[in-house]
Amino acid sequence: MNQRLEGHIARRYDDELNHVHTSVIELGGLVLDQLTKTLEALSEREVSAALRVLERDESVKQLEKRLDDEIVRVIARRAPVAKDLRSVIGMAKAVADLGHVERECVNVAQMALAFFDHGMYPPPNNMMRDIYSMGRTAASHLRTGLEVFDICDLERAIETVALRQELSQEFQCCLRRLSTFLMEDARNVGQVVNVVLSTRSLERVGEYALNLCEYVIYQVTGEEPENHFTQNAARGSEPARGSEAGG
Amino acid sequence: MQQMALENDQLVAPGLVREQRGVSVAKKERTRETVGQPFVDNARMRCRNVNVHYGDKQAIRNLSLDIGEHEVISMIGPSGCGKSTFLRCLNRMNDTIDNCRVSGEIHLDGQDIYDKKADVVPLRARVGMVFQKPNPFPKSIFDNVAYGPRIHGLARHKGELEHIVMTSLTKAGLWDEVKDRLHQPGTGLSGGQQQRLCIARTIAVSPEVILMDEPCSALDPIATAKIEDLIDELRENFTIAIVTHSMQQAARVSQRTAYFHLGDLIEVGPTEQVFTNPRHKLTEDYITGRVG
Repeated sequence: MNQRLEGHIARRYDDELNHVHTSVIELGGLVLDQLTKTLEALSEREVSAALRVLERDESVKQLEKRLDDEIVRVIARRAPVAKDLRSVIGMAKAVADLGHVERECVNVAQMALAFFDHGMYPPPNNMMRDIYSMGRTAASHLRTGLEVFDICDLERAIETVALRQELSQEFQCCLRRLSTFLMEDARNVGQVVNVVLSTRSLERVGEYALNLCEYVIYQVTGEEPENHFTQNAARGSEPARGSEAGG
Repeated sequence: MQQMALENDQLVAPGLVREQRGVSVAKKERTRETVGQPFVDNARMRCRNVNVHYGDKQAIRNLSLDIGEHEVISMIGPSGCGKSTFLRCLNRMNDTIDNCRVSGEIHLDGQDIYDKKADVVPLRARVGMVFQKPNPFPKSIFDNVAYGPRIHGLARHKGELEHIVMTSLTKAGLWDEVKDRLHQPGTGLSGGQQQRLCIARTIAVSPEVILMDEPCSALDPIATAKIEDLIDELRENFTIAIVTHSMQQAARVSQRTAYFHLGDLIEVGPTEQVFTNPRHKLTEDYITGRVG
């Protein structure tokens, strides 16, 4: 139970908010598991893990949709204000971002299938290590983001958000390393592109995970941190903050 | 001393409200200073150190607040917090209550309305009031609106009076509904129409400020929506102070919101800020339904 959501005279209101909050964490747990399976598929070359991710995609989407509907109902019924409003908005945004994480996991899982199951020649380990490294960072951020969001830990949220620059820099390093494969042999271009796309997806997972911490900051303080990561920035229609590669 | 504290009082820094691990809380908790923005530059009415007693019971404590020109300021708070009492101070309606004692200063355009030489009759034309329960006079629709201009001598002849009535009913959004039956009784209208008739009656004497004490609490949602729409239009020409129990209404119609609690003015600020990120914990507890 999140104490910030409690204390209303109408106890049902407490229950409704807590139910939504719990469901958001449940969605986060599912998505984290999807990410874990995706990384397993890559590192262990486990085709079955990648297939599992794709199979569960639909159930994750359904939970996301149910949560969206529930949040709309809370807003319609309760007309939340002040910290309740910020909490509900934060939860709605978290649901959306967890949905984005899920879609990135599916993309990477499909890439893993393409590497290991569809007859493609998989990239060598030294090319894949950037995916593993970025994957570990993304998983760590997602785990932290969910923990912070669950208990609304403001201090930890502020500390974690500060890691955004590091994440961006790690991705830049990956790009530089991967570009050396192209310079060595232009025929590597197909594999390099696939690895770059997968690494980029995992970097976005990390960014969305850090957004969860920003939503906690917003919920508690009412202030939205600057340099918030959005899908538009990811697509390159806005200047991609901290990323020269863009798109 | 209280006034100095108020004028020096800065907005509580939004800062960080740290509710975990014993970190100190920046948001003001359970204190009785007014936080936020009680004063404005272009005030139509200025209230300073207003205290109201009903006999020995103090209903309002040392309240200081400005009401800005052409703004809608809403006053919210639990029952018995003093918001209606304060509203009635603004046009000296509390004078009609025997054991009510008002001290402090309330200025309308620089003049103290509680000055011994002040005349309450023109004051109540300049500061009109709309009450919770629609109270049309037992007269025709026309005479309801014409009553005020007649007794204040605002119309030189019949044509001018008719023009005032038509204009007032138009501004109140009622003209099209009643233009063909002006000589029918005002009490024959629906609740929402009666309330708009009362608003037309108020604006017929060209007030500067309109006080509304829960004007929609006796009305259905459609009538309420019409009144709220009307309040938004009236703001162009009048200053409006509204007491309401509906926080959604306060959020919809007002530019500034003042929260009262047990006779104290706790917080005043832009409505958007009060309802998304109130500075005082008491305000937040009330508007989120954590205290009644």
